[in-house]
Amino acid sequence: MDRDAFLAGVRTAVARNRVPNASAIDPGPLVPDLPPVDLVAMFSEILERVDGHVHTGDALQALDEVVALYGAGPFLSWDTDRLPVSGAVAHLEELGCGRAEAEVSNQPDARKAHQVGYGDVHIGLTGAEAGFAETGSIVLRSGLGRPRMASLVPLIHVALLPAALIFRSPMHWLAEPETDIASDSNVVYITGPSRTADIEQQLNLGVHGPKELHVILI
Amino acid sequence: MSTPVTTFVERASREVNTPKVRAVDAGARLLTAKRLKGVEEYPAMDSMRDRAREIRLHTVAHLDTYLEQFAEAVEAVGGKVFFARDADEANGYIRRVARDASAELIVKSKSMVTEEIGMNAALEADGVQIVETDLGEFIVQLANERPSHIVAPVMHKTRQDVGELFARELDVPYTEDPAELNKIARQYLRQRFLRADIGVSGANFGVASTGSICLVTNEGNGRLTTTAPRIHIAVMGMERLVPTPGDLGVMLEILARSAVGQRLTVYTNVVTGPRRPGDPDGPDEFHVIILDNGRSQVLGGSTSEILACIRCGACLNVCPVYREVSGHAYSDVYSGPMGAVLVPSLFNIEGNEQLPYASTLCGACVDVCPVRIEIPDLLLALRQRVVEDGDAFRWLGSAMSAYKVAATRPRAWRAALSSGALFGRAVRSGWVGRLPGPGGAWTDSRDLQMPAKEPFHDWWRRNRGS
Ligand code: SF4
Repeated sequence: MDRDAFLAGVRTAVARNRVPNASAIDPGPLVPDLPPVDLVAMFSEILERVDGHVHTGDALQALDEVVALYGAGPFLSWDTDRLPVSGAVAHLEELGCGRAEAEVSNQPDARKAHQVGYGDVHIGLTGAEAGFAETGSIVLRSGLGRPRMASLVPLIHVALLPAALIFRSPMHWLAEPETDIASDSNVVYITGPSRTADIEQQLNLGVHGPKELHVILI
Repeated sequence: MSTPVTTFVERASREVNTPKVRAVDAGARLLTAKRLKGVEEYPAMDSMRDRAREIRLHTVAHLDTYLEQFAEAVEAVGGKVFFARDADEANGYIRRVARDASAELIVKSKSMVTEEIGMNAALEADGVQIVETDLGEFIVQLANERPSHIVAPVMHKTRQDVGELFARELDVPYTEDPAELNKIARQYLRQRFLRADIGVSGANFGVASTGSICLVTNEGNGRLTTTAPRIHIAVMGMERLVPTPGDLGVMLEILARSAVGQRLTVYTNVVTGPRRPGDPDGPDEFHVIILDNGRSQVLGGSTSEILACIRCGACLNVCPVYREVSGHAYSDVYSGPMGAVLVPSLFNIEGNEQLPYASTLCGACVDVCPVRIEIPDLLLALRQRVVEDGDAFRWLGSAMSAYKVAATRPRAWRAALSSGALFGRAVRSGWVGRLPGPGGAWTDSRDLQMPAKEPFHDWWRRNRGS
């Protein structure tokens, strides 16, 4: 339908609308003043409550632990210059993991052929631009050197998050002047591994996304 | 989907007291208990609900402005916007995109609005295969059924049902282990995701100032649908906007908590346009279909408040009527108290005239609604519409004078009911059996004014979460 005609129809309806309290939104603060907490401790506790795992200490050693737990295998990764630990990609390769190509073609058939190969991707290695203590979430942003698929198709997702980037809550992060959820094509909050409770409300992990989420705090 | 061939009462009578409905009741109770826990641990819930209500009502009241802003923002980041007056226009657009791309396979993440427009049937007529990817929706699709709940679509099925279904339809050995069933679905769907030509999603929210859409899923199918295929089409009811990212933040604070008691859904996915130069992956094309399909009629009418709904499902879980008849008794994918308002408002009241009566007006829905929609008031407004439309009202017979009074004096009606008489009685005595049938008179109307043996809230407190 023609846009102008559509919007004209909405305008007419809006003029007749009798919704209560439809004035401007109260601009009061959305981020409450709360007593300070240990953000790292809260983040770790809440993330583990939603079945994620948190590592502190040496990042490369944490990668050793992950590979020891689940074995080596093909991995998708953000580029080294997008990660807060410069040796992480090389370290996974040293542990016997082969890095898969993350650049997807814009030719339809080549794209499909490439993506079908993602069936065996075992590990995904990414950074994160923020964490939320209250929800145990991490924030990932797409862009150059930051494939979305790295946090999506593998069975195991390993994210490197500088502890200084943990905010109290999503609202606290959004209230930062430099936060922009729309300056890249995709921003995702990830809160634990993929889960479903569709069958008899029984919890199952890893239905489409990763079954394991390990956050390594830097 | 708007003109059901059977009535609510006929469908409800088939559902009531079946094992299926008992499963839905148990599931709804569990979700209510989870919600309660989630809300209790979040002290800001009430103030966030107030804020969320303001945001949604404000957006709806200025929808023309925000829609224009949203469309411009989507186009500014390279997306395409299509305004669809109705289901046919929306489906026509999707079919054109599919044809232009020679698409054979479409993956779909859970979306009520695509159910509303009957998208699957329209596309299948062109020979395109459509695969639902939310585990619950996938099961519903394989079984050729409808979702029984807007958040938990297969609440009515046991693990044995799913095991038999998978064995039959997917040619796998029978298992009733949910973990195994989950694995089977993951493998089956994974290859389809990676080969699909188009991903179709709904939109939990659109952000007017940025042109972003936000999709929340726990499974990750929303992310795969919007990442793997070369083309992403988002179908969005025109009322689903919020003005800014901060407003989106408020909605996210309350949505998952109200739906299932989670602090946040596992994947809160914000998509702003197609893949950009330098992005290694993501869709090359991004389309947003903005759908009216009766919404502007709702906006200008007496039930416009329902447009603030964020589809959390909390009102279904606490509704004594929903829990006795399941989502399958309602005439559309929208069920429960929300559906009882939305469906007759969006579509014709004719054919849906029983829905406004599918409620005890007990008010449990308002108590849990994250945006505090006054559902009982809206149901009364619809009842008034039914009353005014004499023809549509024949099925209620001659004993309707009580309702006529009630419908024109909602406050008195609610006061009479606030004791909760109907709720307790209805549940214990088998509510559906006493519903007015199409051929019968409303002989039980006096029951509506009987005083409660036990006030509703007491009953509720005693029973909830158990
Ligand atoms: S009406 Fe309220 S409680 Fe019901 S689904 Fe909508 S937002 Fe949730």
